Amino acid sequence: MNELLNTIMAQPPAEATALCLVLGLAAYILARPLPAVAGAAVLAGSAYVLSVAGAMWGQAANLGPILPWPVQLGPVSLNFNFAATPLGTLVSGGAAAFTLLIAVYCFRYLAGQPWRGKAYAYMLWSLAGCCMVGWAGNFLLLLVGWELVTLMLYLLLNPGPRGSEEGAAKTLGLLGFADQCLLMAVVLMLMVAPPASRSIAGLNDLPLVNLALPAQHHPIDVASLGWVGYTIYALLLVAALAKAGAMPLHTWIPSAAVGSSAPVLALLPGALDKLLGIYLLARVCLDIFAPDRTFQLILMGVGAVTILAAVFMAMMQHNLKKLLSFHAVSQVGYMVLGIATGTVAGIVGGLLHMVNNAIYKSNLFLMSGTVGKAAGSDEIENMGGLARQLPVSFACGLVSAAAISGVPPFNGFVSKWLIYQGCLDLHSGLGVALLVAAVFGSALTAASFVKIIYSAFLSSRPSGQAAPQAHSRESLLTAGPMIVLALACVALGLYPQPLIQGVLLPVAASVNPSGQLAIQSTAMTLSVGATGNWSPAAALGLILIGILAGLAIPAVFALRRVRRVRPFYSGEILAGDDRYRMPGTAFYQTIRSMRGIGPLLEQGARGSMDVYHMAGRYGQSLIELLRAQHTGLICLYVAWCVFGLAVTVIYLILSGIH
Amino acid sequence: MERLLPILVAWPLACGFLVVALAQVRGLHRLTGLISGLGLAGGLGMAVELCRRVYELHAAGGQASFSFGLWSPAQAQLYADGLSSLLLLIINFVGLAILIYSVAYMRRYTSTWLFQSLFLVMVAAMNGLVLAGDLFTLYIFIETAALASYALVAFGCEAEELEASFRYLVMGVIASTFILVGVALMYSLTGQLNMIQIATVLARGKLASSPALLLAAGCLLAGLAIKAAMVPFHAWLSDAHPSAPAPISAMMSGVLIKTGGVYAIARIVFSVLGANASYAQVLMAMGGVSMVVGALLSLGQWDIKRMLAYSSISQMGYVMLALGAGAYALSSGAGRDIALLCLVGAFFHLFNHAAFKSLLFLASGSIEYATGTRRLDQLGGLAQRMPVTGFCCRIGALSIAGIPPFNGFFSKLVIVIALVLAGLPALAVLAVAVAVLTLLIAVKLQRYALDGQSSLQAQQARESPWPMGVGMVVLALVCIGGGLAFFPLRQYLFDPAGQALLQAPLSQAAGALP
Repeated sequence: MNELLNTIMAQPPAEATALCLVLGLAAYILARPLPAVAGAAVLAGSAYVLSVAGAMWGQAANLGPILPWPVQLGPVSLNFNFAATPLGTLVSGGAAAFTLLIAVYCFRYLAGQPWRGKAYAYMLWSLAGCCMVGWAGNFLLLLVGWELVTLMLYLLLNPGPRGSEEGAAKTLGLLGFADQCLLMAVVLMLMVAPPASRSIAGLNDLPLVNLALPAQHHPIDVASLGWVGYTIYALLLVAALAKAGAMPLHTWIPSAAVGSSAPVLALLPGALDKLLGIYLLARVCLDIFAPDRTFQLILMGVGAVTILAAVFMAMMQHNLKKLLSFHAVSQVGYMVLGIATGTVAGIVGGLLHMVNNAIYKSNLFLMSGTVGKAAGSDEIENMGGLARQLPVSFACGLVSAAAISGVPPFNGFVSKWLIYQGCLDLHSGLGVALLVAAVFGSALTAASFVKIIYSAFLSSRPSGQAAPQAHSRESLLTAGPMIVLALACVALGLYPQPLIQGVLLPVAASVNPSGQLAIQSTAMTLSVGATGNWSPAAALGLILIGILAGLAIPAVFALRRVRRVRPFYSGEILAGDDRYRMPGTAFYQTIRSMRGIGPLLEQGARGSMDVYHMAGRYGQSLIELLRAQHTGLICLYVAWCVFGLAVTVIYLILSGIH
Repeated sequence: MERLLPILVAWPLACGFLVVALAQVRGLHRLTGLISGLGLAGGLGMAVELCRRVYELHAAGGQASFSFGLWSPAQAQLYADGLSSLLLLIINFVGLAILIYSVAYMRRYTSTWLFQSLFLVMVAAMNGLVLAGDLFTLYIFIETAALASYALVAFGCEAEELEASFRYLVMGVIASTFILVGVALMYSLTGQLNMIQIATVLARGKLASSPALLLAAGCLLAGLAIKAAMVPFHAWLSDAHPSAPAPISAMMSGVLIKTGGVYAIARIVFSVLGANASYAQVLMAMGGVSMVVGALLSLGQWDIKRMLAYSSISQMGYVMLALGAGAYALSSGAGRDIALLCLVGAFFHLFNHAAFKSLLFLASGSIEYATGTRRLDQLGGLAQRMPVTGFCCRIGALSIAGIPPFNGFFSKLVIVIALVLAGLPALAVLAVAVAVLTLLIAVKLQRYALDGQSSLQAQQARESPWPMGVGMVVLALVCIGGGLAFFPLRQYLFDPAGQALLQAPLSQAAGALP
């Protein structure tokens, strides 16, 4: 036991993970009597993980196993290995940062909820799971961390306000399926390992299983492993895509969004699950396996379809959280698309988008929390006129909405621009088609956020809606995290160079070992190839000039003298009549009646294309078929036994003859 | 140490009869619970001691077994090795937890003493079953355990319970017939009843492939498969297990089908018949089909206990599959290491299943106790109303779903790795696919019973009395710690158990034939 403690203490990532697990246990025990202490534990744990991530920033190190007594399973020895890679440290550190901010938000948002203490414990444990994945040195640790995050997501979704158990169950069902795929992939890796490495060194030293890859490693060509290799690759992709929420395994996110509370959505589907899913996708596609044409094509297709289909679904939604959750799906499409292009710009863009999306998406979910509380409902039609009551939410929501729509100079623009460059770098018609899909998706995203910003903040309040109570106003605790995230959107938009240069480019460089990098970044500009040039500072200047010019127009032309009158019709004042209110949702009803797309989207909204429901339907008929055989007739049951005996004996005799 | 073996059977049996006697004396009938507790605690103590001694012998590299014969050691009726001691530990430990639970649960029935005495007889018979050294002793104890369980299934005396018990009785009689025919054939062919001696005779001659012996083997396998509820011999289980009072359901699903079915099959295939490819294929086929069919049927149920009962079929399928893979690895030349790994996986899963399935049945009993219903669609929101039961039920559900850090994850991982190493990747894929179904079962259980809005019945629910909580918490702790404790558990329990089956031929240890 001492030996184990010493090994853990010697490895900062292992120590941070263990600390989170222990603090989580303490928080769980103290959850009821002292929820504030549990909250403080989250702050301590995530701050410690952040400090470790800061210390390990940009480093690559194989830290070795932590169990002094590996579990020897025949020729395979199982142990938990930690390792540090720049991308992994980014994931763990990012997870800690989000946990910290959202815990602060929860202090106010969840105040008075009886389950908040336990929620803090689950947050700590999910952070521990993220650390295990980010700093995993082998797939066994990654698998355990991965499933731990799934479990914590389930437990966090469960106690939501009303009807959350449906979504939570679906989440565990779908993600549990993905986790089993990951497990199967890990176990199948044993099959392709050369027998020598099995018997001598065990699971941890297999080139395939070792995640702490040395600098001079060569990714494996998946075709050289035959069908087992393809199976492993496909299973890993299923696990990664389901976690990140790409189509067709995305359906858990919208279902989970309906009943559960905003900070949970901001933390897990908004941020951590994206980080984990895309991290695994990047490791699989870039580090472990050499790029494979077939899978690249599949992934590009998945990415493009996800971007467009999810954004259409998002535009149809009237529930704020559900709408945001479809955007969470749609944005995954950009990441998948970027990584799948296999070009340096695309990969860097995809990974940068992972970080950017986590920031603005979790900010948007937090915004939905304060807005939902103030409006007393998550339905967009019941909102309105909240800009005055919730100025910080409005400002941060506006920044995040601009970022997610790819408006310069915010962070979403930079990563999307890099992804567009990545598509162009394919130098083919396919690349152009993908570019069109991505740009179109971005435009639709902007359209749907116009609806949110207008409906929630700018339109007039519905007449039946009472003015927001004082307790639903923003406090420093809810506004602070949103401000920090909004500032991060601006900062990463203006100055993404350190992140690109320090962490993301080396990852992308592994697919392009010739040493020629397609991205040059200086203090002022980013340039891709010969044509792509982006200078955030110059762009910011131009944008500011444009805005100032716009502001100058009313001043110059004295347009400020606006006359405000109440709606008036034939002498009757119509204020307070909702028939004359302009809700933000009306315009988007037209999408439903669009030819071609409309009926398809209706089908999708009813869940007919949901793999979960499909599996349920077909599974149910199979189960009913089996159940129908169990009639309770003893003679039938006895006949089965006799039949079983006969088959057994005949089989034994026949196989004995040969 | 050899003398401990008959005491392990006699002590609970004596306590059982004492309970009957005390119950008739006014003033002393309050002591029956204490006596039955003593019966099981004594059994547990002896089982621990036996495990310790077996481990010491095992670690020293010697023959880790004890035999006891009434007439001569060579014709031992009772025989204990690593596998027997593992099962003894499971039977008595789970039995004790269930007995504590039943102190409160059984208050709503009359004649609790009858329950206690039948329970003790069942435990004594199971102790004898796993200690049996010859086929006829095995048969007798299987029958004794079955007799006690027929009565216990019908304990509520309602129409449903009597019908289930009758169905169970009919199927049990068929199983007994098969087994008895198998034993008789075996005796007529080899002239022996003692397992070691039969194995020696079979190893010497060419008898092993004669049709008569294969018929005997088929009868034994089919008879025991009825006891283990392998598909297509499974139909009785889904009626019998849910109808019994919850503690008995827990005992039957958690322990009885393992001892009477899986243990006996493992013992006969590995120690008597000798593991060859044909037997391996039979076991793997039964295991694979049971896994899939059991899980699918379980998923379709709305009665909690029925759901859990079908899931037992599926989980026993896992164990049977791993046993078959062990036999396959031995016969295909994959090596003893791999075979041992398969067996360790099987026993680890057996151990874990004993913990989480008993726990889930106890939790379902507690839910029924509080709400008066077992229908999932009439429950809801119980995690808040019944914190202890809800917590334990969730732990059990997550364990059976195979989610880390709970024990089910680790045994599933060991079995899947073992299957791949044994050269059976298709079965490994099947095992993982069934794990997804099992996960869905656990999700359904939690979604409808524990989470969501309380139904009318659930709104009145209050936490069950504390002895029920104690019984559940003990098992929940095993579920939480069992996975992380794989290393010591394997060293002290599973490795000796696996080695016990791989010691071929057994005859070398027990001496030559007379």
